[in-house]
Amino acid sequence: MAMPLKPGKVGVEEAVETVHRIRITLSSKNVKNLEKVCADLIKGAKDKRLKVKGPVRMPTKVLHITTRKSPCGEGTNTWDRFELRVHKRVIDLHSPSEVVKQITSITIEPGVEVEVTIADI
Amino acid sequence: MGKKKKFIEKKKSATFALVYKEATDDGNEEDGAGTGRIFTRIDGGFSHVPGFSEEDPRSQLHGYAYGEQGEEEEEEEEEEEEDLSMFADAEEEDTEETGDENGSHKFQTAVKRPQSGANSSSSRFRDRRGGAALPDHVRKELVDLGFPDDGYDYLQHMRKIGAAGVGASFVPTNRLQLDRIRTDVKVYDSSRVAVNLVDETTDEQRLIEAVGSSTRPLRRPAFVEEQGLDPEVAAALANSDDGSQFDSCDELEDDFVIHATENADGDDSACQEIPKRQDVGIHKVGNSNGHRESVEEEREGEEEDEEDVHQIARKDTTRQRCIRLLDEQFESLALREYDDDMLPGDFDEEDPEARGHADISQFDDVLSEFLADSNIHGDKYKTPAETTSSRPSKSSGPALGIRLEACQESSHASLDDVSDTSEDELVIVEEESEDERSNWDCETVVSTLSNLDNHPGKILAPSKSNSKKQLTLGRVLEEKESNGGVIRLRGRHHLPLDLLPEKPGSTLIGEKFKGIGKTGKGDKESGSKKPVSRVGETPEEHKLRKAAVKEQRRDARAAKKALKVCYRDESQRAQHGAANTGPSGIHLP
Repeated sequence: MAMPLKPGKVGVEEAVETVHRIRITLSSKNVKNLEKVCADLIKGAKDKRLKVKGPVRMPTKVLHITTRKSPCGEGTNTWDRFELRVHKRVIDLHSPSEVVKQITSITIEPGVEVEVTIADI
Repeated sequence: MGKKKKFIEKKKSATFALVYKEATDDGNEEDGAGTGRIFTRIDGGFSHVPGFSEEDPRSQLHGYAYGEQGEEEEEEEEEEEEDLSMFADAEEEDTEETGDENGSHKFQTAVKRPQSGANSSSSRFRDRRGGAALPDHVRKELVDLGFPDDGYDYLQHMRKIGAAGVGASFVPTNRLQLDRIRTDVKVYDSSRVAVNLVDETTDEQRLIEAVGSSTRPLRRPAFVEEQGLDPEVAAALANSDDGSQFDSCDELEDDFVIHATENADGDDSACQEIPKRQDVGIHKVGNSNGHRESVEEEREGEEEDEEDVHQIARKDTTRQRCIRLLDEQFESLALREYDDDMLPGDFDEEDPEARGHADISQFDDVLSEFLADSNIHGDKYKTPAETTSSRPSKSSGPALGIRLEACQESSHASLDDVSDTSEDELVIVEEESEDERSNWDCETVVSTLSNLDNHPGKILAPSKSNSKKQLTLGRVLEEKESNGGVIRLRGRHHLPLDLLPEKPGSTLIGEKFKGIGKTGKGDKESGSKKPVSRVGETPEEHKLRKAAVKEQRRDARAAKKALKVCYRDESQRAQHGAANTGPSGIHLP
């Protein structure tokens, strides 16, 4: 486990929790909600005075579905082009896990998927 | 080349996903401000992560006792779930130690962590508990519901009836299941028996009376069909308690079938003779159509009629049940109504009402008389040859005379026939004398034809002056040209007189022909002026003469051709006109 604190202070400062490297991955189809959640998370982390990196915007994955408009084969061959966009944001933190749990429990929008990866566990 | 140090190494990391968890019945509050979201581990590892592993249901499933680590809510949960938890009888060493240290705050601080961490680490990898973990009353309830006793708490999937106003209350029915009882067991319904407290002073007899009066034996209506028994057999079985119909050793007699049927039909004597009488009955019914007399002989009275009724009733071999009064009545009704003896269309010879005024034998020759009667048929059915053969011909005069004679003969014959009828009725016969009879000749015969049908008229030769001044396009154009494109209307009635037909002979056609004819005639007339070869004419004169002849011939040819063309044109025009006039048009060659 990474111990950013000095070894001498382990026994004294019991309030200091082990700080982990935590990566929060947020993914959603809705950009607006996603950005809102990201902003809230970063704001919450900064309120707790944690080291925050992000939000890193991953390239949007687009799923294309091209189908014929017509239910039958008759008619001019017109095609529908549907797409589904998945946006991904990554936020890196350095904090104890409980704090992160606290942060993530508060701000949540529907449709946003949250994944928390804790390192060195 | 060394890679840059990654922020998170996958192999040493734990990944949690925020998921929605459905609310449980025990009404626990969930983290996340009551929205029901929890973190669950998705990377498949089992390492403990502080803060995240606590509420991970996976860790609960796999029996990791993180439990009494001092989170207030979780402790409450633990206490409530103690009965249902697998770890109900687990070592409660941790609670004693960490129970006092629980703060009000939800999240445990790091101070307690190391202490509890040691304990937790020891108890972390506890083995999964078996069925013994469940409390006994829970196990009993599971078995009652029908679940297998394998240590799994199926009650957590069961919904409590009536809890929080959800669902209805369950009231079991008290329907008696007769099919589960053995067939030889009698069933009594004692639900109406009033149960009173029994003490020593109670009279036994009274008790027995009370129970007996209220108790009634239950019938089994569905018993018969289900078991496939005949109702008679079932009745026999039911009545077997009264008195043993059979011997004590339950042996049946040899002809028990007859006895059984005998008893069922009510001792009807006719029933016993079923095998004998059936054939006779069929035979009788079959014969009754053809031979009335034989049936009449056999039927001597009402008694036998009844027997016949019975026989006909018995005739149906497929009838299984006994004959009722209604059936007998029906059969007798059928016989009475449709009895063969009383056919309405049949005439009895002795029946006096069937006679007429005259004897029937007198009318035997009616048909032959009718056929021979020439008054009705007339001459149609008798040729003159027949007439002459019947009466010898007197003379062989001219053919007409023979015909007339034949007619006379036939008329004679008809008259004679009329007079010869031997009918009793009065027939007025008028005999014509030969003098009064009219002498027919051609003129008279022809004059008899009506003028309405035949219109006499003179047959004339078709006149040639039918050609009218036909109005053709060519004529109109010619008139137009001659008048300068104007059709003049003259006369009082303002008719185009130029185009109307005038006197016959002065038509356009006539003019044409006239001209041609004239020219033809002219040629002939000038033919006299034909140059004649004279003797001693000079070559020039010869040439001139020849040329003149040639000219004449050329003109003649032209004239002939013109005439032909004129004829053709006219005939075409006439055909057009005839086509337009209608069916009564004159046929043209």
